[in-house]
Amino acid sequence: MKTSRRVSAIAGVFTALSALAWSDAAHAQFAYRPAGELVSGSGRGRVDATVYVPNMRYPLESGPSYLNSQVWGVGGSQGPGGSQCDARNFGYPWRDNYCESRTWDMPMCPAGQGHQGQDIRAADCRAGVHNVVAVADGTITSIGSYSVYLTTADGTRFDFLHMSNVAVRVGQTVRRGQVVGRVSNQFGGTPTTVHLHFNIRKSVSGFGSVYAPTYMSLIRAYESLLGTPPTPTGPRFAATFVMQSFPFASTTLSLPAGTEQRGFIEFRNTGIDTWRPGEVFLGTSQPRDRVSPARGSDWVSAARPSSIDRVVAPGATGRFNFSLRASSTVGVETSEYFGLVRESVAWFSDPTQGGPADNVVQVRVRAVAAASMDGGVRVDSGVAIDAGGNAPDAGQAPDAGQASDVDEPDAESSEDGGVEDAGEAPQDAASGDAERFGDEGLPGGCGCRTTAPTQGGRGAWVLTGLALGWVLRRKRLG
Amino acid sequence: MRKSLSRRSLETLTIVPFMGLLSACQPTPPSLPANAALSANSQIPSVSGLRERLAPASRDALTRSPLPVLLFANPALVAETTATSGPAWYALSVRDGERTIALHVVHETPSRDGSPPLGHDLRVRRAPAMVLYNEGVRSVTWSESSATYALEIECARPFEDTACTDRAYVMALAESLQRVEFNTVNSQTNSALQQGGVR
Repeated sequence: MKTSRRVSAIAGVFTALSALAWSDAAHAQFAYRPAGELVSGSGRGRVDATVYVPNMRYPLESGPSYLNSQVWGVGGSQGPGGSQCDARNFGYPWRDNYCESRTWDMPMCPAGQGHQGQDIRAADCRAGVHNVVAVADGTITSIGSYSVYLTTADGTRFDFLHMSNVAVRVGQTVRRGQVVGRVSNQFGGTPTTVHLHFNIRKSVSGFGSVYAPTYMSLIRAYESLLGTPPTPTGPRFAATFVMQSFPFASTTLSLPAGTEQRGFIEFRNTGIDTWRPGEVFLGTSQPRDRVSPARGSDWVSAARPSSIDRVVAPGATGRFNFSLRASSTVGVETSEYFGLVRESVAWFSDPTQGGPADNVVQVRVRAVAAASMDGGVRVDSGVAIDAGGNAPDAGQAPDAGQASDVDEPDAESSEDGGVEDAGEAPQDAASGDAERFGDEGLPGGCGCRTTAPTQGGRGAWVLTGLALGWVLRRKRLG
Repeated sequence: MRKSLSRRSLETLTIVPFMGLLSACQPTPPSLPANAALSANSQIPSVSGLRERLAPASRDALTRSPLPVLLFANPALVAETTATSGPAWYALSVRDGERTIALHVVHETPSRDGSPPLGHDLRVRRAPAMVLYNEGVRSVTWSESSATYALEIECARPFEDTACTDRAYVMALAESLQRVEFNTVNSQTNSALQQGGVR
């Protein structure tokens, strides 16, 4: 009995040490190719860094594990000859296989067709050995010939395919990490490799109920399994317009000659780097760094209206507060474009960064006689929204997530793959007259031209803005 | 054979597109492909009849459903169905011979611009619908009554059984789904609970 306990204890320690050793090795080695980068010749992937299900558990109980193509991998029907057990199939880096060529309709794939889940290999090619586990608490809602569906409280469904040793029943509630089966090759008698096909089925705005991209969610889950800090993805510097104290317009802001109007423009940090006051500025553009004739007395310099007003973590929002000044000569109209700049490092509009482009944020100010103002600011004409070249495909905008001022939000998670604005708008500067693009902002970037606050017709501006947003989206989806 | 139809049955039938003209005199569910086992004994019983066919646990689950419930029209299938539900969804699952039929229902995510979701080029139950095919599993998805429905067929022989290789079966099955009211039961249960009654 004693001996048995001793052996058991030794085995336990050995197992723990093995797991640690694996974890350390995997931690050091784990790497992955970007989302949407498929094996050459295997189709067009979906470039989408959205983590559709943040905080998901990795579906295999332990690693190492490998995401790569079954069809284009060694031993696959389209891959190099050899065995599915070839060592080349069991190594890093991972490679996305969502949207890999299939004749299966799928609107989220660039080709309109493709593989709709992710194929996952376990540590080796043995069938019926490696445990598959629940990725979250939930209910087993269906078990088919070769599938098990797990549905979580919010209605997201996770599908585990090709398993053997299914250890759950329909209607059973399961806990995250609970074993549901083992990696195998069950496919109704159809030959397939030993792997787990993993789907996430959920409603994605613009697509309905679909098999959502799983790659980034699996990467985050695997990093969590390894104890690796999440690897940031996307450009270092990127911003998306959130709101402003001015109406959306190409409208000319009319100010009494020689006077100023203070306001703000608010952006969400959709890049990787945190913005800090004194580092990230609004700068004049078209061309960059030009001396602005609209410079207000509170500008940092002739080409820098202001610095960001707070520390802005990725996913959070911040404001640029500044004044616009009308010419001292009545009738003179001044035009100015702005961009964001990380001083001495990069403009957000640089090719490798995430925008907005230099020609998107515009202000026009006209000097009028004081008497013509009726004691207020006058706005003269209609709205113009320029989406610029800054709008990525739906689902690709990494500007969702929980926004707060300084907290570290999960900037990569987006429930619907689109643009969400859960932001808590900073409440300072200017006024509460801020305008925003509904809850969406412009798709993927600032498309605003700024003018000064209007005294009326705000609803019309909002409606017009929404209508234009609708047109832009139609155009983009078309 | 079908002596009377409840009002709800008639309403349901009239919204089925290709049944529209026939609904007044032909209260038959959309016919399924000839090879579909379901079609042989498909009937439209009264709504209460369908509900009563469910196993108690499944009936309880659907009573808690936060979404409008559609059930299979075939009573025999309903009797074998396992229903589950959560705070934001309900689901059905049943084995029909070599096929597994699953219905997954969640709240509709409205389109931002009001247009149908991408890829919804077909129509099912008068709604834009999309048929997907993934790993041999055939599914159709559509929205009605602020809920999004995904009906899926998985076949034991996925590349031979026409229920999976062809879209006709899943679409016809979707057309034949019956709206069944569980709110009454729900409110009665709630009322009983409030009065310190059953459960």
